Amino acid sequence: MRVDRLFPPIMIVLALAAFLLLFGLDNLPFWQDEAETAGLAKNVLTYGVPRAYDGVNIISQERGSEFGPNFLWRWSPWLQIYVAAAAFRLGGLTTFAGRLPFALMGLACIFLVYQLVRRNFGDRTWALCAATLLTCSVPFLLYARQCRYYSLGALFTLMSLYAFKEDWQSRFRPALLLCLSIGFLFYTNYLLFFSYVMPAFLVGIWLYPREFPLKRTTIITLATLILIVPGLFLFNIQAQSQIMNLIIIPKNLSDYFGDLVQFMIPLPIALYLLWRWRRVFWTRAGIPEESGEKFILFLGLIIVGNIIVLSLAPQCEHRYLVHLYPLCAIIVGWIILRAWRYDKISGVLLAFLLFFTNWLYLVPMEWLQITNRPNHTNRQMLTYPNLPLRLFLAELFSPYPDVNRNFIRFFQTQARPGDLILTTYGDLPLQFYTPFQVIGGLQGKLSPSRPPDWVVSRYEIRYNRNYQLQDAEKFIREKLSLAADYQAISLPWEDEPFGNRPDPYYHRFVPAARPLAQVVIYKKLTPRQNVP
Amino acid sequence: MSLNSFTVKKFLLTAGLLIVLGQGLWQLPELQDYLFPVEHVELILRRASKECPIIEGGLIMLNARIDYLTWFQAHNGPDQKVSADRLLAFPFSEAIRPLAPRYFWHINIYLAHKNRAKVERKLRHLDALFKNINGDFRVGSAHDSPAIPAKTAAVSSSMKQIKQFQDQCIHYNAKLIELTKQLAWLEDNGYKK
Repeated sequence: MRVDRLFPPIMIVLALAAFLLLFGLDNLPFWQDEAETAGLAKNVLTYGVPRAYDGVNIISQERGSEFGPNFLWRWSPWLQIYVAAAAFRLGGLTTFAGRLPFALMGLACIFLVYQLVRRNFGDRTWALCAATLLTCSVPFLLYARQCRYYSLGALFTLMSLYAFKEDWQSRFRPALLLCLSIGFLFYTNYLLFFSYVMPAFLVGIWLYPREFPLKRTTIITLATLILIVPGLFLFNIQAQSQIMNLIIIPKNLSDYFGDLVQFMIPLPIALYLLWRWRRVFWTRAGIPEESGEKFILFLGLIIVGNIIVLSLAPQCEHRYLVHLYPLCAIIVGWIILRAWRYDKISGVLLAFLLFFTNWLYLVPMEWLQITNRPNHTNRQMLTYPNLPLRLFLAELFSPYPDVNRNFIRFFQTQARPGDLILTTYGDLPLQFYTPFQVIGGLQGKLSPSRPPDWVVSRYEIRYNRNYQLQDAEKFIREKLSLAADYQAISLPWEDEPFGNRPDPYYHRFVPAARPLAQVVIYKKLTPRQNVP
Repeated sequence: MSLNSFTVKKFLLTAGLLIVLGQGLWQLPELQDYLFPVEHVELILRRASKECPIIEGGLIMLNARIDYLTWFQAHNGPDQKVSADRLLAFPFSEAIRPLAPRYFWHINIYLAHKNRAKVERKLRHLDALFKNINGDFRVGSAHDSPAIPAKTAAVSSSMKQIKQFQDQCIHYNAKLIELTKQLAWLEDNGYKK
């Protein structure tokens, strides 16, 4: 497509999005999960495959369940790892290089949202509104700025919808795009694949029965299956399904729907849509005839179905909803336009509330007393009524050294070659950025050949899936005598739980005015004799 | 649809959005800090008065679940009839107990640990908050009162409240340790059938 054919406002939106996604991309170092992807990508450059062991350190957050005896990573799909590895190959082993491809995919998502709506419904205002909403969605921006699969998942989800709305029934390219986008979604994260594809397929057949010719649908289904079968065997899906827990399904459901209305589709809008489509649930006559609204219903049902499937998985995390942010932007954009056409003042008010504030999300939930605010949240976070973009810009322009940056700097300057570091969390960023052997974290049972030279007992207690203390915590409490054998070094930084975690429940844009807990690092009192 | 109803709906929509706008503005942290500057100690007191009942509720729940598991273990299995009291307290667990006793056991141990971890985290958080206050002024027992600087009646009252909360937390901690031991014993002795 020629650039000069594009509607100019979208260029402004994309320029703004590019700035928000790329500016200060390496202000903060990788946090634990990003460092897992980055560490594996680093090993890809050496071994050609994602190995969890590089001869010094082991990458694990599941007590070593992620790999077999040969240390080949089999826990999560490899696409994100290879994307990061390619970026490291081109740009060097830097934070910026690791995050860049994912941020660019976030930008592509915003463009694709615009293109999907404009091309299929011919409504440039709606398209622009949806693209702007996604650009202003701070949780989406935070996730897209991570060296992790989030934006990749959103991009493949959008590509599959784009292909679905093209003439895939008779043309080869849209059919190929549909097949590849779904297949690659599996290799991005199979949880996203299962939770998205099944509802999308069922809702699609229900809402667009004539658009599913048997032969073409069968061919695409088979081709996709052929694409994903190797992955089904390679990644330990069977082993992971054993950690499913029936008792947590209702809690997961309520948490996911809570997340949806707290950050993605405001509760009043969700209720309005439910009321508007109330007849759909028992009669096909209730299905809207207007193509735009029908598509909105399609997206809405995909989101609901997605959450239902997701709630079966053991871990309930906001990250598994990130691929639905573009869908929500399209829905909310449509609502803003309806409000504008209904009443100009309401339209402007609604647009202001949704573009620049999170008030329509949180204020009604506060009225109902159903907001979710974990212990450590403060008023400068997305869990309180705020101007999210202002918080986000404050972080971009006044970056502060987070907990991981402080630890990295400390050990880069204080530790000596060959030192062994034990930490209860944040082991993977240290492994990536420093040359030392780092044990502990969520790696599982510890059996170090010698007592660690450094011990970091983080303030936040970490439990395993069964709510029992992580092995590193236990090891420090039971096997080490910190008071007798180590010198405690108190440092003037806050021991915040995660660092640059994008989850809106945890992400800090500005440092806490009064740190809750300060970092204490323990240094072994007797220096080892064999180190020069 | 009559014109009147159409106008009323528009009015209601605009009014609703304006209320959200107004409340959002009102709750902006900067505006609140400017209009109603609240002492750090006051914030911690509010937090503590909100968290203490939650911790207490968590401990009561944990205690009840441990009693339930102890009863189950003492009566050696699922043969006991379903009780209305227990059905009210633990509807899901009591319903599945006769059908799947092993699953019942594991799920209740899991839930007890979850409950314990939640209480432990909250207590740790409150403890850190109270330690944080010590930067503002010392809070302690009667014998270190000479170290407390002269203060207003309001500050003195806050200190008293904080001391009460700290004592409460000591009590909660002791209770939690006791319940944790009981839970560990139950887990070690396991499901017998």
